[in-house]
Amino acid sequence: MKTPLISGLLTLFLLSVISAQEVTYEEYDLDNGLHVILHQDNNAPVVTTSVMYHVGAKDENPEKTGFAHFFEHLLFEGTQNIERGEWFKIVSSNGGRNNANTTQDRTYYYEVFPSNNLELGLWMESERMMHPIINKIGVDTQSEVVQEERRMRYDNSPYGRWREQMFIHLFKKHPYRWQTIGSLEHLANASLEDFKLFNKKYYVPNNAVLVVAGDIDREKTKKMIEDYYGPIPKGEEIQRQTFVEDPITSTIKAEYHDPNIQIPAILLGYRTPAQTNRDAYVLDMISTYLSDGKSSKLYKKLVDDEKKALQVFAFNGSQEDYGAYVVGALPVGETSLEDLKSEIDGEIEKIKTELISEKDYQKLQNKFENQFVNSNSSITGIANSLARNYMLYDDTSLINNEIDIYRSITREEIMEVSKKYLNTNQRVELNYLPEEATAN
Amino acid sequence: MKRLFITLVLGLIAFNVQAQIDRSKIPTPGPAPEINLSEPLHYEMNNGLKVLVVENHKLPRVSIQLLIDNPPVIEGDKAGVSSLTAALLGQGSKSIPKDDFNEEVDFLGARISFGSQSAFAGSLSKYFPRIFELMADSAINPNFTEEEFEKEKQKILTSLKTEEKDVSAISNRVSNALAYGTSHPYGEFVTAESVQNVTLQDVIRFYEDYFVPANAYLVIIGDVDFEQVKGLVEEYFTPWTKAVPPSFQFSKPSNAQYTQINFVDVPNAVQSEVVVENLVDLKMKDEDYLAAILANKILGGGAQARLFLNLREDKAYTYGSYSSIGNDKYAPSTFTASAQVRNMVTDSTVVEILKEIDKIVKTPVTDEELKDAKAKYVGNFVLALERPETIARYALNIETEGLPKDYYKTYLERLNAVTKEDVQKAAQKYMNIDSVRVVVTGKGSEVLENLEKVTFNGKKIPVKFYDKFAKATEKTSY
Repeated sequence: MKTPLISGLLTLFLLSVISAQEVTYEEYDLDNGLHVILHQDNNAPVVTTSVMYHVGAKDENPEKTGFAHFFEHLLFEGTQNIERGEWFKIVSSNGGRNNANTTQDRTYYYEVFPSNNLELGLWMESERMMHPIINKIGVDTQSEVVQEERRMRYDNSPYGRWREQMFIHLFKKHPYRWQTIGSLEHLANASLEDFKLFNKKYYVPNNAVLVVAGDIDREKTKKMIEDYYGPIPKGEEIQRQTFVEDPITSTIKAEYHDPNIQIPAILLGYRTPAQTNRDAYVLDMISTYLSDGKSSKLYKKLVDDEKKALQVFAFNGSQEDYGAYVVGALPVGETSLEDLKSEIDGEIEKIKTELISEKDYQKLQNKFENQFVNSNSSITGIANSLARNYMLYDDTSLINNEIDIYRSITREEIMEVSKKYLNTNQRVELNYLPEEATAN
Repeated sequence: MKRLFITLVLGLIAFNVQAQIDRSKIPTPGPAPEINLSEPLHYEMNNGLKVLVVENHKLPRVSIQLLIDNPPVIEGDKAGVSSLTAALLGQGSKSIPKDDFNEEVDFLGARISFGSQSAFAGSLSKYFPRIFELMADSAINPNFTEEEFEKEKQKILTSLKTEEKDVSAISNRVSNALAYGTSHPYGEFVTAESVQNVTLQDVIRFYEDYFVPANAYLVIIGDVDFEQVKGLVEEYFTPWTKAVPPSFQFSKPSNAQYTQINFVDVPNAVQSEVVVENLVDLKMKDEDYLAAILANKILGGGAQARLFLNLREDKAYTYGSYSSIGNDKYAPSTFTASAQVRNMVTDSTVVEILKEIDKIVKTPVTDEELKDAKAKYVGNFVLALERPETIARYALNIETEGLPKDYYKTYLERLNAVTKEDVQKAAQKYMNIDSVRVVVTGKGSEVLENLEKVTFNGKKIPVKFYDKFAKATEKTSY
């Protein structure tokens, strides 16, 4: 067996050029402000129609949280031309699938159909945008369904509340301090009028992007889009509030007891800048450097060599206004959370004081190249990226160019950004613990 | 590449040539798309390894999958030996130390992972030959060491602890154990004691017995050239020694004798897991396979199905309720219908799920339901064409499930021919309303009282009690 010729191969890799297929697309606005992006790919008879609305949990009134996610449910209840209970049936009986998801920044609805049902997909999303039915029976039903969703995802699931607990401490003023599921109490107390107003304000063409991707004929598609979406009235201009957090200057220590766990976890969370900020991309690379793959620094040290951790993970959650970089670990055997914390700190200290090696830098570049090629592997994935890049980054072309940003990041920047954000006095230290044993 | 072009008529062909749209009507579909089903290139090596290659040059990447289709294995008092084997594979090879191996795989931006009888790798096409070599070397010449063994053992013991209070994990374990019995490969489970019983020698023996080429398939998909693949396979898989896995008998599991509730008390639960289950003898090659999956689709196969519409959209008991029907050529599989519901409605959920099963067994489905369910499968078939792995999967199924060569070419035609009567017969055969097990995992102090009052079709349903490890136990008093 040959031994790996890493140093020899290195120069070769530096010269290599990415040959991933470029994603072509066309974009324009309708008169009512709806932004449209078309991506044609006739390789398979499949089409995705999707709408992203620029509304998420951060647009909610602090006294009425959970609305955006609630609408993700409510807007399947029916429209003037689609009866209650028919939505899923129409999709399924035409051979399609559909779903929706909500983040703190945006809500995304989509259908995937065999391409001869393109018009159906366009019609359904236009119905949802034009005249959804928001009534008592729908609100009452979905309010209970959402309670079950919360129980399932948060209250009955081991480690289900780590994100919620971390964000409560990372954000004091910004709406990122609550989760998309929101408060069940707020939802229960909301009136039908509250929901109607929320709909009228945010679910309008001038706050949305429509993406049609896959096996389409662009001219015919444009005509259908004009027919179905053109008549939808423009909504009022949306005024958005801005929220500026005070910097964290001394360590915030927090603790949470989860009745569903036996093994504790340590979570260290840093508040990071908006996802469009170059530093956010640098933090992606730092996150990969520390914990992605078996040769990554934290995995190798804590899990592999010293066998102190069952698992090490890092999460660089970039969002529109701020992000959160969270690194955490679960101990093996007798290892204490303090011990894990100081081990993690040791590795973080290193990136702040020394440049990462040339070889590790090249490894990062190779990983991001691989990720980039894989990110455009399905039509549904491409549709989602186009919508996100347009709406949240204001740059649709990132679908082809984002890799250039990672390529341009230097080792020096990795050190600088680590120094700027990854300081112990700027973070939340969350001890996520089993429920204390009760005398019994 | 050998290509087969088939044009299939998917439904009504309709042209909508109106100038004005009428948004009060559902748009009609355009002409059915043409379906092209190609076949992977394949050949077999002398050691028994079968190789399937799907060339697809859309993106510069390749995936490599090694699957070993052995019959299920009983691990007995050493349950966990297969998990440990999986964990110890891919840790380098006899000639490449673990750290160098991990470093190189990561350096190439690639992934290599192992199961106890499988392996997977993915990389950009420019690094494919080297990743192929690394994967083959670590699969055929694994590096089993005492040090790694002890470490992985600790990790498994700790992760068993992480799920001790996990309601879903408990529900899963108990429902399989009760369906199959704990001495069946599908019913046994890993415990701290059984993991402690495993030695490194056991892992090595497991590997030598089962990681053999007789039933192995190597599937390569992506930006490759067939001749190049052939060369690499010859070079790196020829040393894999020809061998057949040992075979042994295991008990044939049987269904409950009458419908019953099997209750597991988990005091920290805020939702109950309700799983209604029975065993089914169903194989893909069976005549009534499509009728059976259509029956399941109508009952609980998605957001348009009866269980979801009843338990979520009508009653709002749950975030979702679904059913599934498995198929297996080696042993019985299961039919299950399940939901996670708030404590208060646990008993009503049991009744509603049983009602839905009873209904589909006793009353024919409607024409519309059948038409819609078929349309969903037609859609799935079309949507799957986007993924290059589909044609590999079809070829593998034909080979491993003993299906006729034209199985997928005639798939839509056969799907279309299924009648309401076929669906009802399949429901009667595979959904055993008179002998289902209803496994409820939840907080006894809040749900048990009502659960013990559940009656169905005029009969009281007896409740039996089990602990978190599926052992019969006494009722707890609250």
